[in-house]
Amino acid sequence: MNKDTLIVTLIWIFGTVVGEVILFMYGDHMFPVQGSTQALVVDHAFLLLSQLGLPVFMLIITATAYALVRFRSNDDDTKDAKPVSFHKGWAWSWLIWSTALCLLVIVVPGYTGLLELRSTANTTPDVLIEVTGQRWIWTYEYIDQETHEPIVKIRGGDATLVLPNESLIRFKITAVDEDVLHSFWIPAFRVKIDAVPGLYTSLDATTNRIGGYEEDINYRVQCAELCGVEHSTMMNKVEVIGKSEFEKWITENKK
Amino acid sequence: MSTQSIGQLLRVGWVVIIALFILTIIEFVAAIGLSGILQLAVLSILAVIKGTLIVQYFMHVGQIRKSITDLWWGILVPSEVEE
Amino acid sequence: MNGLLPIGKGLVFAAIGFILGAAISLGLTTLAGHPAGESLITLGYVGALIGWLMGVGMWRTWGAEWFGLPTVVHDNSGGWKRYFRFNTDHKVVGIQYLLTLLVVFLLAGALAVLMRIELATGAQDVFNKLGGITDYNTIMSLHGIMMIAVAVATLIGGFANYVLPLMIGARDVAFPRINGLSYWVVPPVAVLLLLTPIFGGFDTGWTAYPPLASKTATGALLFELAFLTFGVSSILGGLNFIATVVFLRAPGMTWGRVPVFVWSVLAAAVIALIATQWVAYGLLMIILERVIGMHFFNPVDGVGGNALLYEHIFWFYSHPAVYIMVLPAFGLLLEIMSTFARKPVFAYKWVVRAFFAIVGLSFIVWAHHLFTSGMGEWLHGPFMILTELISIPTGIVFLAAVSTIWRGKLRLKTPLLFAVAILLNFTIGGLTGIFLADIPTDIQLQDTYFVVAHFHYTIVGGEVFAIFAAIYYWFPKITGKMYNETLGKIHAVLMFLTFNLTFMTMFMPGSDGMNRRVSSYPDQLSDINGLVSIFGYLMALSFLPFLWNLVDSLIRGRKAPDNPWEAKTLEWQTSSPPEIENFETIPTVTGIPYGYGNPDIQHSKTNTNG
Repeated sequence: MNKDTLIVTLIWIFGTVVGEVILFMYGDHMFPVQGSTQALVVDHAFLLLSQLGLPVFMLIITATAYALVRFRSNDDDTKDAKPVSFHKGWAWSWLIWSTALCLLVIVVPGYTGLLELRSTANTTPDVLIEVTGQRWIWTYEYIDQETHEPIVKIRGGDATLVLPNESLIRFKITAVDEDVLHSFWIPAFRVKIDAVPGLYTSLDATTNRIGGYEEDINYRVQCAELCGVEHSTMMNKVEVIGKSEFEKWITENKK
Repeated sequence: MSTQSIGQLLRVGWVVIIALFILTIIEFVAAIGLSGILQLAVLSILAVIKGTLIVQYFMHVGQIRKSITDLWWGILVPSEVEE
Repeated sequence: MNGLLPIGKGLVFAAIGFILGAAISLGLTTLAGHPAGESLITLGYVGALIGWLMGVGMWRTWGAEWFGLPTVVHDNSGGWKRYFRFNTDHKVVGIQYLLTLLVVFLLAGALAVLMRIELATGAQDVFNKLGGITDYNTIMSLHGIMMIAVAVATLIGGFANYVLPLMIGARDVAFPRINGLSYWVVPPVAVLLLLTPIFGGFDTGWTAYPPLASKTATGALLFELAFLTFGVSSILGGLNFIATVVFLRAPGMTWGRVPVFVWSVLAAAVIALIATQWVAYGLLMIILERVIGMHFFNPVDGVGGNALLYEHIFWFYSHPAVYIMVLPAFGLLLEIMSTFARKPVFAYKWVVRAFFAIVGLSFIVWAHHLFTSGMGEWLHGPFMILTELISIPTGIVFLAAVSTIWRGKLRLKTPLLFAVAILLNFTIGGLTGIFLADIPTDIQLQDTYFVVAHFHYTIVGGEVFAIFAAIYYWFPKITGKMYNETLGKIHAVLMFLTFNLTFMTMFMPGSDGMNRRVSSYPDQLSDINGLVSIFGYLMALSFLPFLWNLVDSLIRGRKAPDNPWEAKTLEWQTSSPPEIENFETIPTVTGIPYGYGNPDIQHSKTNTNG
């Protein structure tokens, strides 16, 4: 290995190691509050992709920066460079490594994350809420899973979506038939799906801590699909409280 | 190019247009009257037939077949480079 | 002022055409017993477009032929007047595109600054004061579609139009009159878009999803018509370039001797030809919904419309479209790196195959824009896999780029600085794309500022930087004058720094949970947004050295030699600027265009210079 390649490799390894250490130490601070078990899956995926992407980034930066400095020609140098013969090995090894990295990322965290996020699909939820979007407010109906009747109904920008801790919550989401596309997103839970007029979409979130909007603004429902003039303000606060307080709240707010 | 007269060429054009029109009517009937896999199969076949007619008679792709294979060969095996 | 006569005639005939079209629509709707409504605008616009085209010169040079009447043949020489009428010289058409799109770019950039002023704080304060005519959503949508138009059309309609026939040793493109047509539909597109605020604006974003797009103000109809028209321009341009590259190469230019930039434009043209029809049809369906009341996307009355249909059709074009934007950028990147490193393009064969692998793959990944749309679950996995796979051929292009400058003799001129900037920017853009291709992370990041930062890194950092690289690279050839190298370098460095500061910072509100297309947001995100805005203003300022350089060099620039960069491709083997017929004699190609360091390889032989 000649001198230039050696130096670049060393700088690359050094830069990657430093970067990975920083990611390891401060990676968790990149994320908003993790209000659900799904959030842990999503954030873990994000961190892993950052860790895998860092060496690629460092390689391009290092090689390019080094080449710019080391292989500059003087202003009065009019000769061409020596044509480097095509190293088949270099091209093939690049292709093989990039393919391997790509396939790895597809499986982990791609498929593994996807399967984990879908793992609750066949479980009966602890709380079932029907959500309807209409320009520009959300309506929430807490459904009794035995009678399939709504027990509590809240709507409007001032309403707070109250949820119990350590529970699997299923949202069945739609938009009014005559209305437009909206999207139901709770940043703290890392779950999002569109509200489509004429069909129902479904979202699962498993709460894992007590928290609320006052503590962290990510405890909110935010419309995430442009729906017109008041799209920016189509939101509700979210509050996760203990299971017994939740039972009390349901009783107090029964229709 | 072609040794046919303008009249013959125009006739081919009209035949193709009418054929496309008839095929579209069949498509409409199939879309409303059939369902499931049968509908999917019939509509797909009709789409392929219509596409072929258009590609051959409106886009004249058959006449430039040699240039296209030439191009593909060029992409796969650019001849000149010393590699 | 009779140089502006064609424009005047165009406007007059446009007005006549509009009245005729509106009259026809009034007649039809009255017969059908419907209120005329927006059909007046739709058919009126079609009439106006035809009138405009005929008026600016298409009738006298082309249309008259269809009716057996004699046509005028312009000699295409002479001053500024030839740019203001229907012209068939590819060099004129190229400059028409470039100047029009430069104006559009600066306008759209100004809109972006306006957006950042609003977004600097959490409250919606700026746009409330501007009253009813403008509202944030319209400005944001206009910024989007105008920049998309610039991104799609500048490298191909502007630069490739001018340079590609020269590069392959041809006298013009295969269909010069279609070329002229492709350009002259662009001013109506710009006019329609700028008229939207008067018709209530359009608050749908450039993606214009129904049902909102079918229900909202009339400005949305103008947007749909504009986008449709632009699609026509794109399709015709794609057709033209494919025919040109396949049939008009100079004698001796086998496929193995075709420059990399030409390959990349060919690949982009294939996409433009095949994919654009889909979005045109999607837009047409929305127009039909608005004007005749059909409901493809509207589920009311139990007739089963579905908004997701549009999303699929729209993205079936719009994803390949981004490769129309980026492939010529990659081709140009390699061309410049080879010239300024005095080394052949590394792994030329692999690069060509990578371009076409990207073309193929780009058609089967569109649903990654629909991961959170509620589409069927079974589609998620396959589209995730296919999307991730595009990183492999893209990686090959990076391999070629880095290996081309490795051990070269780098002449650090402005075009090379921009080329290196593209490489670094697109690394970040491409890597952040993986976060969006992977479904677990995409669920959180979709519709946030993370996506906005990602596509600005790829489109601006990749393609707009390539536009500037092209401007500095081919400025001597097109204008016959040299630009100021120092100012060019200042522009490159400033723009690279401010661009990265702005959009690197922008990833943070994205991963912090700020969604996009909003004019107000929680106060806690004000600080970071304020910072992005400040960097954005600095980036806007970084264009000043460029504008000064452009004007000053056009007026006082030193005369440019035929081949200031000592490049090997054919456009540099003729005068700067080229004569009307491009070459005195068509050169004969005798070798690859990358014979740096190897005196046995000669790209071309001509009688004058070789």
